[in-house]
Amino acid sequence: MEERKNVDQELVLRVQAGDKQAFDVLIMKYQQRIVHVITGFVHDPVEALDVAQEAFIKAYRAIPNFRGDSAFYTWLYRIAINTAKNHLTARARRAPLHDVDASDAVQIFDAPELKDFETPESNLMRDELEQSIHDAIDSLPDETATAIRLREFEGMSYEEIALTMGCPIGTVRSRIFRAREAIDKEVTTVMGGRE
Amino acid sequence: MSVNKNEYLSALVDGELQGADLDWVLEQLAHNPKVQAQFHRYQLASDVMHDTVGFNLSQASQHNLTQRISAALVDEPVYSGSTPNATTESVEDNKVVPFRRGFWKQATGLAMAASLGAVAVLGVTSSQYATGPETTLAANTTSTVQTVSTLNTASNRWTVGEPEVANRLNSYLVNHSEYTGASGAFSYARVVAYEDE
Repeated sequence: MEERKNVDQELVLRVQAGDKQAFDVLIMKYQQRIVHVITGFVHDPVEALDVAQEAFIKAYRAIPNFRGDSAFYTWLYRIAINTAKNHLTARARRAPLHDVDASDAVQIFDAPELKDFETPESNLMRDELEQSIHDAIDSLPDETATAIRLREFEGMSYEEIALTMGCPIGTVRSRIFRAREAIDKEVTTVMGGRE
Repeated sequence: MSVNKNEYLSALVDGELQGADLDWVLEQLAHNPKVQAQFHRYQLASDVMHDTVGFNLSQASQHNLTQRISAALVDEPVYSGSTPNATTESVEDNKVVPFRRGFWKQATGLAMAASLGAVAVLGVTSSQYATGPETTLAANTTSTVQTVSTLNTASNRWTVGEPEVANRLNSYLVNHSEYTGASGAFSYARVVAYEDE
């Protein structure tokens, strides 16, 4: 298989080459996940956002030395964890004793006791969003639904999906895009009443 | 070509965009608020599906965080694109470099083994000749009465200042070194020596 350069790597290279806006894309891409990770440590919403901001700033300052030995998110994740721990230490709170692998983060941070950050309203909105997204996927043509499911739930690359579904990568990209458009209509409807 | 634009955004969410397409999308994201909002929604839907939503789901909140961070980075340097500077601060550089896992366990074991080796070498030689030097010396020469008495009064201890005792000790030390070297055995007592008291 042809080695395809990861988009994150490309964005990092651009930041290293002086393109600050490429870092904005990385922020947009990972802000939810990073805040999600930080809320496992810092339960106050305002503090969590402050810590997330600090983590991204630290990442920007350290990015000249990022050589891509690990995935960008893994690297960013570690910075976020360390920043959250330092924040807790500074506040003389007790930080968790052990590092958590990125792969374990979802399970650990989904623990009910770590959901203090969430409000009833945000929970309701999340539930509505989840439901509307699943409804949207269920209403898609089979091939489109399969493509988005393989991508989002199975974590397959476009190339792997193309092999699985026996179609060109361009077709996979189109199907996933059409699925996202359908999902986006639902998301916009749900979120439209909240903003 | 609104459809293509959003398709590129979708591919960007999936990390599947390359080259000129990526250039074009990045340019749009930098300057077009509608494109930014669209990207946020695509990304948010993906995060919801992965259950990795971390904060208020409104787009306004997400925009705010991005803008806050961007504003905070305004005074940060723009990197030159040269090879990463070794003196630039990095996350890794901020940490004390830890020893390899198990290092202290290994070091403790080695230290204990070295101590036991030293005790064994000196203990064996001294126990073998605990009585040897004094009887030999006492029998062979009358001029070594003082040495004998010294050795007798300090049982199992040699007065290393005495030439014969020194010669004997040196002999054992040389034998020890040669044996451990020739046998291929690992010498835990790498350096064995003695000093005059």
